[in-house]
Amino acid sequence: MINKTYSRVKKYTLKNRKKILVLLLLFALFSLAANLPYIGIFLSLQNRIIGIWILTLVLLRPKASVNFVVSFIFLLMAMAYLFLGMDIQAENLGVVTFVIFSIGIGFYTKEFFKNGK
Amino acid sequence: MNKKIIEIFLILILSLTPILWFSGDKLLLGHDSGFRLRPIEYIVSLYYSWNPMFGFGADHSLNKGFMITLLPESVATLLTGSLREGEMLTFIFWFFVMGISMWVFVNAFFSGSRFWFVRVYSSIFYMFNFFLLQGWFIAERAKFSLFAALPLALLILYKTLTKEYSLIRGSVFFALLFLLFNGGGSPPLYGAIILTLLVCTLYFLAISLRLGKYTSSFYVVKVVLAFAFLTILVNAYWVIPQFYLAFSSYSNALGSQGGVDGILGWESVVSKYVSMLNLLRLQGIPDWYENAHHAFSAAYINSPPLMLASIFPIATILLGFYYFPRFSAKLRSTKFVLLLAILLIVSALFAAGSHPPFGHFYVLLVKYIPGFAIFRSAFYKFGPAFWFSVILLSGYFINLFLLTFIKRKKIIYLVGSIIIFGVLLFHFPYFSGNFFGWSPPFVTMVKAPGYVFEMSGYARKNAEDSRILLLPMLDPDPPNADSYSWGYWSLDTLPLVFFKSAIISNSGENKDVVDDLYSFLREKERSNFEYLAQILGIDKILWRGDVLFSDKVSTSENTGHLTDTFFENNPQPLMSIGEWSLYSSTSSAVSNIVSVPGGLFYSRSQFSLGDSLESLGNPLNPGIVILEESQSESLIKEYAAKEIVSASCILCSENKFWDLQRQDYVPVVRILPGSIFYPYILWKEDRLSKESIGNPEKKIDLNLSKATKRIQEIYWLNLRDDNEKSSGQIGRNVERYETAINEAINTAQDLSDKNRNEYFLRILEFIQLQHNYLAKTPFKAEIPSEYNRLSDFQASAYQRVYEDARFTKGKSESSYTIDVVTPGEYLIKVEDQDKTSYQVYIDENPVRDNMIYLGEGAHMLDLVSQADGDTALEDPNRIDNFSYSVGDNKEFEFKNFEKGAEYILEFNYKTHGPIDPFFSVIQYDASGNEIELEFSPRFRLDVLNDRFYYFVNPHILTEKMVVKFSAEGDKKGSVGIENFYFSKNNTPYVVLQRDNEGSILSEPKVEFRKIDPTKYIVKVSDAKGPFILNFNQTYHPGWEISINSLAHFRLNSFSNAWFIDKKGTYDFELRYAPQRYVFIGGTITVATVIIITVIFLKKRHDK
Repeated sequence: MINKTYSRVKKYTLKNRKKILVLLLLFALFSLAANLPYIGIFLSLQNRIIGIWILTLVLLRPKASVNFVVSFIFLLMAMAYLFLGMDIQAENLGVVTFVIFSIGIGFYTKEFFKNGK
Repeated sequence: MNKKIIEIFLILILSLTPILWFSGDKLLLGHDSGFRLRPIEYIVSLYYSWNPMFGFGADHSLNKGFMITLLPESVATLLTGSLREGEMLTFIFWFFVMGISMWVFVNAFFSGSRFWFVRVYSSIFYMFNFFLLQGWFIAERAKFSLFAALPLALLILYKTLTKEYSLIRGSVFFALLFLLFNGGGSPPLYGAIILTLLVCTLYFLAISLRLGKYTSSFYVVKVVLAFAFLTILVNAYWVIPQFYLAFSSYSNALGSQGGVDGILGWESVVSKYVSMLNLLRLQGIPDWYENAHHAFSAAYINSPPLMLASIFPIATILLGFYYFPRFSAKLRSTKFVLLLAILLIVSALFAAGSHPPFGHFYVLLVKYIPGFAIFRSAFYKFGPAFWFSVILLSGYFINLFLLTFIKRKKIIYLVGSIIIFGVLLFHFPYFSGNFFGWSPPFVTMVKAPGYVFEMSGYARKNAEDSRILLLPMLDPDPPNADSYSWGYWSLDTLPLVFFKSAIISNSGENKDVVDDLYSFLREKERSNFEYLAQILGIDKILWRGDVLFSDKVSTSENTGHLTDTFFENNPQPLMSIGEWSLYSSTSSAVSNIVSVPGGLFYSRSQFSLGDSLESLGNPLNPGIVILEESQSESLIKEYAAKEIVSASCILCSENKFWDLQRQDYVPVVRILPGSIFYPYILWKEDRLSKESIGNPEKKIDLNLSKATKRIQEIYWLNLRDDNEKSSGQIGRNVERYETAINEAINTAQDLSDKNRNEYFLRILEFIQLQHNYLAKTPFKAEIPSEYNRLSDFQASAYQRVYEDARFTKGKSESSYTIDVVTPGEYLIKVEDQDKTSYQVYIDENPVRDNMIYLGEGAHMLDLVSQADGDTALEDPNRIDNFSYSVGDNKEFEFKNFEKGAEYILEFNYKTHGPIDPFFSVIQYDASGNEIELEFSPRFRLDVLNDRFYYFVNPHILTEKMVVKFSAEGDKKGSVGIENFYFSKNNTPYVVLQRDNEGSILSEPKVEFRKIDPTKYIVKVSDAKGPFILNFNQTYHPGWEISINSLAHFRLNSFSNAWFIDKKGTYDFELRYAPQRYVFIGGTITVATVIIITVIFLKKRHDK
């Protein structure tokens, strides 16, 4: 089971390696730009994560349901920060959880309006 | 079917939870609970738009919906004959109603036996959650009724839109639902329901437009209109009075909340902890985080297992949606689930209010959507929709998981039951009932002493039509709560809950008038007190010996200085039981509710009723009116005997001057000199300067604002690494600062007298503010020369304005402004508690024999104490001269001061070197415990040989006060203090009188008959000419008489008066006009309900 999943992930990563590389580079670029005056205001951690996630959706076109599992992961990360007493980081990841959940619902709604199911 | 009965039975059993809360003889009272000893009596009073029991009477057009919302407790109290048992039954009722409404909703969509879990889980979770629990400590019935209505309202709308219910059936159900569950007729509480129904309607509209099925767009609009129309008709009895209020006083109500900015300020406090993460965990309740006494919140905020458990509902939703496409198609209800998910998202955005990052959306709505400001405290208004959607979705997905992953029914039952039990366990505070202790010893579940009930029985029999003044006064600190040693605390005075009399206290609309009464007691002026009580119609006094103020330390015993005067002749109580005693307030008869004043006097501005009457020699049956409010100036001037002009003291107590200076709010600057965007800032300021030409006040404000910006820019420039570059920019900014301040001062000098003084004070305030801000600058190395130059400029500018500004500068000199409209000879009367003699100066010229001719316009009046030499020399609290430096603190102790009085601390000071001196005042009680600690502002700017004064108000428990002098800065610096003394402050009340020689008013005999609180029949006998009719209830434009009157105005600062010019003997009606809206609304409601019932019965008969 684990081997199967691993080989699937590996295959998917290799297949989309250029897109994944672009996304990683963009994230690094955003992180550097976050220190610049004026521009930095718009590049808070939560905005960077949400921005990269939207680009991921555009480039990799995962299934709509993936949004929810990613949202769940961010929820767990937010809770981890909360346990550590890092309330601001937890709050930011809570926003990310909510936004990605909303994106997922947006996809489902679009699908429902398209197919009636 | 049997299984469903078990489900309902389970909900019923859990609804009995409130029984656990009522231990001993306790019952729920106080805070905002609004319970009354006799609920039915209260419901009857709600029918009337005027309530004579609130102080001197108050409008009561609001919350007519409570006539229905309070029915359960009224019936329960009537049936059981006990308020306590009535409350218990009421709580069980609301618990059950909320649970069963959710059950009905879920059952309508998931009625199959395999969906038992979602039905039970959702119903129980809907009854037991923290959003509701914060309402249970005061049993917010209005909130509960709409919480119960929400699922049913959505169900009816959904079924009507899908045409399972006919339009008529749906509309009737919907209207009747809100007839029964109306949220007390409080529109803001409808936030969540409106949002839910709006989301549902738009969702169906979108479906009809996109898919062209289920229903047509036109039909959706028709449903919405039909629902709204019929619901408004059925609820017309509270909707119409509410509309009247909205149109007549929305802007006033908004203003009383501080306008839109005030609303948003409050909202930012409420939504401070409503982060998205907290919301998703069904938390964020403001009280959890700010209240150190909260009974249980600490466990949920700090305990890892409880923190982890809190994500269970949202985690099941996220995983449920992830797995959603893989669930069996038979189990999926995509349309319904998506509606709930959209509701979850939208309601989260609204419930988070102004909390970032989505708060801008809410702020925009408050600012630009008229009326949206009623939904302040967004969390409480929109939260129910969020809780509703999360509870339902989590229940639904858990049910699907159980059905999908567990095959054996018994295991499903077992796991399902464990989860439901877990929900109950997670909300364990529901079963402890300790949440009533919101700020111990103040609790809402109290054991009311027997004497309260007995005194209530006596007052109901013997003082029903009385006005009862409370002694001691309510807590003098806002919000003027009534609180007792046995746990009661509320803004609703306790006697109001138990008695049927009018209760007069130092809160509400006529607070100033009542404060005058208490002042006379404090100042030991018994005859003035009795005289004013007669004028105000106060015939009884209720002494409560069990008062415990909100500070949780001061009790009735500590208020002796306020009440000794009343008790000095040992008055005999009419009734005394336990800690409470009822007395007559005066030996003479008090004014009738309807009377004819003898003497008429007028003023052009607000006045102190007690002091003004005293200055007039306490005339028999007087009437003082503010001319501009009378609507008929010429008539009043024709008949008034005197004009009185109150002089307004400028910043003469309570450290108002220092409070102004102490503010440290400075707007944030984002762009600094040197930035490529900085020319834009200068261009914008230049444009505003051009706009202010011809408007000197605006020009001053603009220059002060510019100067403040420059200071903040200097602050940030100083923190930069590039010292050389910054130094140049700081230099240029200092020049800009000097120009702005000079321009502000020069412009102010050209203003008219009164205006000039106001703006001088404002300039002083700003320079101090700017100086304080600059003083915080953390310099890296040596203090730059530009900074010293700036500091010197500030000192000289301050000194220049300070010398010209007129305001009270210490004990020996008080300054006042007077506005004279009618030129003439004025008699100046100085009402001084200490009977000190003063030399009066008008416009800097001494006044002889207190008579002076004053021309039209603004005048300055100064009082200079005529006490022998320097009062300080006679004062036992005089301290010799001394000096001190940094680290070498000086302390002085003071005892034996008069309680309730204000004290002033004055001295000259001289600083040597860079030193920033200040002092602190520490108050101690008899046991040596510290009660209060306050810090003085920094001694002004470095102005040599200046005089400093500071007002101190001893707490009622204070026995000793210590003044501790300290300083910060260079250790080489020192401060010299001279002529330091500590003495009682006394601001004399100054009033000027001008004989008006008006015509004589008629004084016919009047009799009256009370029909109800909103209607009186008045009989006038033998009126020989024009007269004034005084109606001793709080002034409100809604009061009217059925004959022609020349004017309706406020008399004696609080009551209604009419100028009537009709001779002879006749009757007329005196009525409160807004009552007609209740009557019209009530008629529409009754007629609509009858018509609906008839149509329904007829249809049933036809079938």
